[in-house]
Amino acid sequence: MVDPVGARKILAEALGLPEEEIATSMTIDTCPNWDSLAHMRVVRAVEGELNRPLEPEEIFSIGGVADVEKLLAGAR
Amino acid sequence: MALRFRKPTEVDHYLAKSVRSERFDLVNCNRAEAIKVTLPWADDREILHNLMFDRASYSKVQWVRRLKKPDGRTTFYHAIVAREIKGTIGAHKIRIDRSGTARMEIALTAKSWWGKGAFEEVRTALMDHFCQSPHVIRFAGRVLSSNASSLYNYKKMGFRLVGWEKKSVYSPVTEEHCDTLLFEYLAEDWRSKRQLELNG
Repeated sequence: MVDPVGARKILAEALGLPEEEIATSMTIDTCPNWDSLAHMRVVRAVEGELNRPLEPEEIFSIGGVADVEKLLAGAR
Repeated sequence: MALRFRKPTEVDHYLAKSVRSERFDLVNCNRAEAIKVTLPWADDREILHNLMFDRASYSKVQWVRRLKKPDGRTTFYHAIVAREIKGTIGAHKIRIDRSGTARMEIALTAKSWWGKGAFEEVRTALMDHFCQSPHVIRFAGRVLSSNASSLYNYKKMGFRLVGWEKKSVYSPVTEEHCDTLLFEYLAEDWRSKRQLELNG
């Protein structure tokens, strides 16, 4: 079961945006706040939530909110 | 496209030009300039680790000996000069092998410029320039699997992940064997993509 609220909360903190501005359609190409440093924060936050380091392919797969939701859903 | 073979000493006057992007002048360096712009890397452990150098620091003499000589034909260093501050914020290296693979490395020594899109802007401008040469068939990059910000940059630019080498690099900084990821972008694909973008 996908938990969009969990993903939105993680991304809101990492990207420095209010949670209500995190849309499922948001990607690294559409969000100006999602730069390389923010991406590191996203990765660290997801790792913290999953309680394990992400595999390189998982890090490379993160290109938007939906990808974070998918990673978190995979752990549940 | 067939490669045109050149005399070993012949400078490629097209490739050896400096390049301009929206915010940066990418100044093609001679050997002395390449030493000057890359010397800050020599004792920056984070940069040496991320660029997979085999020491945790270098003396100036060691650095000068180690630096591949820019020849205007196969090896190029570009100083990244931010016009806004009229200062050099980092350097970019491109090395073209005999098969036409252009291997790229970049380091921004001015860390205040990290996370501001400099990687993408610099690399886009240089790839736009180099992809026009018949000697460049393919762009390639290799990054540590732990380097999330570089993975972001390669993904954002549309590079293809083509390999994952387990424990392929020993880092004297972390004293561990590290995994690396390999990326590629064919020059013809880059030209097509940029043409589409320019046509809106």
